[in-house]
Amino acid sequence: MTFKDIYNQYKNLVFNLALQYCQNRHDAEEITQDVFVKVFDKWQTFRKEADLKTWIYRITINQSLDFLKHKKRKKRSFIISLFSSDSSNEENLLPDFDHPGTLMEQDESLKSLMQKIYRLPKNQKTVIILLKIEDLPQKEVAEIMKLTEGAVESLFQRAKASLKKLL
Amino acid sequence: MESDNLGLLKNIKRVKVPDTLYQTIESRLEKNRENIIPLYKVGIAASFVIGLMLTQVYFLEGLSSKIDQSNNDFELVEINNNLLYYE
Repeated sequence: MTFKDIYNQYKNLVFNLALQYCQNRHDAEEITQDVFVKVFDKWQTFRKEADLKTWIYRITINQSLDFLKHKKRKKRSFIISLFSSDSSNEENLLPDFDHPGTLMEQDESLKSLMQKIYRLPKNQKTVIILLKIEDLPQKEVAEIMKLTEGAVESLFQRAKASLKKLL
Repeated sequence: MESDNLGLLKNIKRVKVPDTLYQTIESRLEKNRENIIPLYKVGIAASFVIGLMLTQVYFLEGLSSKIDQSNNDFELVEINNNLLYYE
């Protein structure tokens, strides 16, 4: 399997998953680039007994979370430099929403829900994205997140409760 | 209520990757390849530095032994009177 084959097979998966995390087309393109550069670099160390799709899911999730952490930190320090007294305002840390997959009738309610998901802790965010947007079975989510199915279920319940608080 | 809201997530459409993305990734990989310094060049640089250090040590050793020698010569000078040096 060549690198181009891998790219062609997984490009949409990576791009759309990154898009669910960063909710912005431009950032998703950047994450997709980072993911495939990493896949290319780490290909020699990839243990072939693991599922390639699961491996690519993990790289994309980690890369997306790293990207968000870095972006939030940059945004936070910029806000601090502007208004030193208003540094804890989380609203300012929301993404520049430009999700091409939601640009339709229910845009506003979906946008608001997506922004709430964006504010969840990273594990809760991941479980909602994988179960509800990617529509993966619980078993596969458990494998990607290196958790048991029971842990995935309880994480999902916690995520729902956190979302309810935010709604 | 919240399950209705989560149901909304099913309406998110899959988006196609821009066609130009593969070229961008390829050029990034190419740039990374250019930035990697070949191992033989690292080896040449390292042996050059080590050689330079050894030469320096060699010359410094020579110099310090010469200084030791001149100090010993100075100590061998005998004074046959009771005058102090500055008198």
